[in-house]
Amino acid sequence: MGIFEQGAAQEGSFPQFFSRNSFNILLILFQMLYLLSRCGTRLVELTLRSRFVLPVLQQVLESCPNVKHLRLWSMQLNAHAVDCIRKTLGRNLKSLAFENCLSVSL
Amino acid sequence: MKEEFQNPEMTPAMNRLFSACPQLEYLHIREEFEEFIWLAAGLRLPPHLKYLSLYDGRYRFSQRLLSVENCMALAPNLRGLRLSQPLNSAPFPRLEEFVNLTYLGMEVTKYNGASLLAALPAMAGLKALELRRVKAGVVDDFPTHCPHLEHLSITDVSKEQKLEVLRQVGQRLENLRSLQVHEYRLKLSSVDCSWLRNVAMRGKLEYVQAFLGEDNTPGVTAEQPLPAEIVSNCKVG
Repeated sequence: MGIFEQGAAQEGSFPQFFSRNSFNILLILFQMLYLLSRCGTRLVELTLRSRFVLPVLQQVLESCPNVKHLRLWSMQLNAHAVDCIRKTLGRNLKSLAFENCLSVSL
Repeated sequence: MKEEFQNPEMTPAMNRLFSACPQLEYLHIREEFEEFIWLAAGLRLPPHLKYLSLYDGRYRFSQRLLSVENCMALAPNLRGLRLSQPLNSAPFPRLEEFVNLTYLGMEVTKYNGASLLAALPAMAGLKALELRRVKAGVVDDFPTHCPHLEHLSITDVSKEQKLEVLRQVGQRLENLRSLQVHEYRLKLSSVDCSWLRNVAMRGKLEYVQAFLGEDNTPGVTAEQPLPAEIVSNCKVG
């Protein structure tokens, strides 16, 4: 049982405002953040895809301060996201790859 | 570029990112769709890059990204350059400035063939070469000017030119260790393989990749396997 399921079971019921899909996405997201909090410092390669809201992106990148090879694949980027990458990983980055990234407004 | 996809704040942000990455050596940018373009002409590539790979789609951002300023800044340190599309603007490619290149991948056309030839004498250190749509006349001088070439890859060779390029280049490259021919229509006949056999028997060729397929050449009726001495001496892909 994942950490979100455990929390939901303790509450007694799933939140009604979550659809099944969004619940699954949240579950994966929390599991990913939990995993990164445990072993993120060991990662040297990281591939990110799709769109992260800024706080989540910041959380992910701060969990992996030793990443040297970053690949952004179909990411939706804006200036804040790029600044976040710069502040968290900029000093260590050795390789950087952008593949079909979409620029979105702030 | 469609206005709704322009984002003027991205270019300064990217410039800040590049200037804050003192160890950045490899940069790869691949944009295949016009709608996703976020690369502007004002983007300043990190001057300490060692490897740069640009993959254009329909919209050729490389033309703008490889400005004269960027090329001059990159040239002293760049070891590898890979471009997916031919560049037809006059200032670029200023390949003769990239004197430290050891890897070059590009499409050769009538627009940049002259630039490539002019740059050859300065590229004595070239060890890996990947050419697309190259014609035989363009690469005549490669063995002379690039004697240290170890890896050669030729793709999208026209049917008329398909083996002439390989004969001219491959036969005279003493240090060739790897040969890749990505041409699904290419079929190596026994005559075609004679030069390859000679290269393989020199003992340095370690890897050969050739896709054998249908061929309508008169006199060639059956698929020819690579000669046994090539297969025994090299890894065949």
